[in-house]
Amino acid sequence: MTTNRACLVVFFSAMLLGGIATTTSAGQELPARSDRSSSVFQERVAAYTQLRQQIINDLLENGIDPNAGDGREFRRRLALALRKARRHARPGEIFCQEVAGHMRQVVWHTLQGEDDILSEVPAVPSVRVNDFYPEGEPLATVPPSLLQKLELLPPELQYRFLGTALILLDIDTALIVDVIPDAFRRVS
Amino acid sequence: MSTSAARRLIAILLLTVLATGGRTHAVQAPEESLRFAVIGDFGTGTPKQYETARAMAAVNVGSRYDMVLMVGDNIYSSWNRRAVVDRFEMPYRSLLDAGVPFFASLGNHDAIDERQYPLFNMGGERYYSFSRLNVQFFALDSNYMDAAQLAWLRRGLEASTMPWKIAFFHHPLYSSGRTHGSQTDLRKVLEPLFVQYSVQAVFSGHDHVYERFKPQHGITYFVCGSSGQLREGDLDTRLPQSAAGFDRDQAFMVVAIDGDAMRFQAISRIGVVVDSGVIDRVTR
Repeated sequence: MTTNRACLVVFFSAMLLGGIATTTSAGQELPARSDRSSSVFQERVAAYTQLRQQIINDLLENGIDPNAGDGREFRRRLALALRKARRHARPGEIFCQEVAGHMRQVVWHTLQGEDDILSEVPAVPSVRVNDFYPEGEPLATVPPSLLQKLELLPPELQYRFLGTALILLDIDTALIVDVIPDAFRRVS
Repeated sequence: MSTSAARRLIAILLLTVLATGGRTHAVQAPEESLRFAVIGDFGTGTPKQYETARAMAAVNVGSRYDMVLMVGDNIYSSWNRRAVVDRFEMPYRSLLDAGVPFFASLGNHDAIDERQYPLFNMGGERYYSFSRLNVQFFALDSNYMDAAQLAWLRRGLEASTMPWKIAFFHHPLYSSGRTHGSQTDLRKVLEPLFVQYSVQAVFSGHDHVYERFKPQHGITYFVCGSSGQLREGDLDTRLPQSAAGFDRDQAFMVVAIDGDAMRFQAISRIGVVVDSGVIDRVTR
């Protein structure tokens, strides 16, 4: 069974068991995430970091100095290699369906009333996997209370907001690794 | 009276005079004290930033800084060589040439790549710690206060044997700035650690004003977010915990720590002392 299928099975099983709440307005209880979906997400994150480490090893073997020019060239090559290796990546490759659904609800719930943070989120026409985070745009703060509710990530990756999406950002390369679209509403 | 005691007395007298207000060029403190400046939200490249930097350099002539702390928004807009030169290396050239080290923390307008820039002394990390004399500093990344950073901070504070513990980061736990204000979500996770491990002072920015708060649970909080940017009149609605504020011109801070006393001044772009005082170290 592929990982995508496994994720779907988990998602629909949870729906049947009534494990997923349908509304998340302020004050209401958020849905619990299942251990299985969490595990699938972590496996996918681990696969990404393994790929990334393999590319780093290759760059080092090829004599690319990670410290030259503040490491810019190394990070640029890492980004290009990651894009090439993940050229067929689509939204949901890491944020599998059930995890994405849960995270969207958590983000929506947590950011209600956080107009100060939302006003800092850069407005962009589209948010796509393998694009770079737009240069010069601020990185809107991710509230600690939200981070406490989301899955843990390795230090190379961060959750960030862009447009109306929650993105998974590779912080060394500024690459958008995955996207959950329409995760929150922008402040007008 | 020993030479050291005489110096200390002179320093106290000077500070007493300075605390009454007016122009000055230094927080006077004994030779063995640790002196540093604090700047925030400065990386604009505007004439006002350069003028504020010149006022900082003037203080350094009379009383040399051991370092400068940066509370974020170090380089606005794109992170590239030209921006670094225009918004950091040129305005602070005289301090850099004098060998004064700068220690950065990241603001929401900063690129994460700034941690690799050698003159920001971040060692490639989003958050880090270092010690000088009797002080341990904790530079935090308040843009992304995840579980790993909180665990690191707890371990660092717990292990620290330094009498003074100072944290600096971008988002203020307390602020009367109308634009952003107090970051209560961040306060919920950081303040308990600061209280538990006896942090004495916290420097932040984000709101483009200067402000000092009355000690909260024994901690004095400063907002120093107008060293390049400025939001005039943003402090109109001051919180009851606020002790002093200045939002009429750019400002920076000068701090000297000697033994159990931390002397501070907030100085405007044109060299006027707009706030000053002494914080006595209290063991909690």
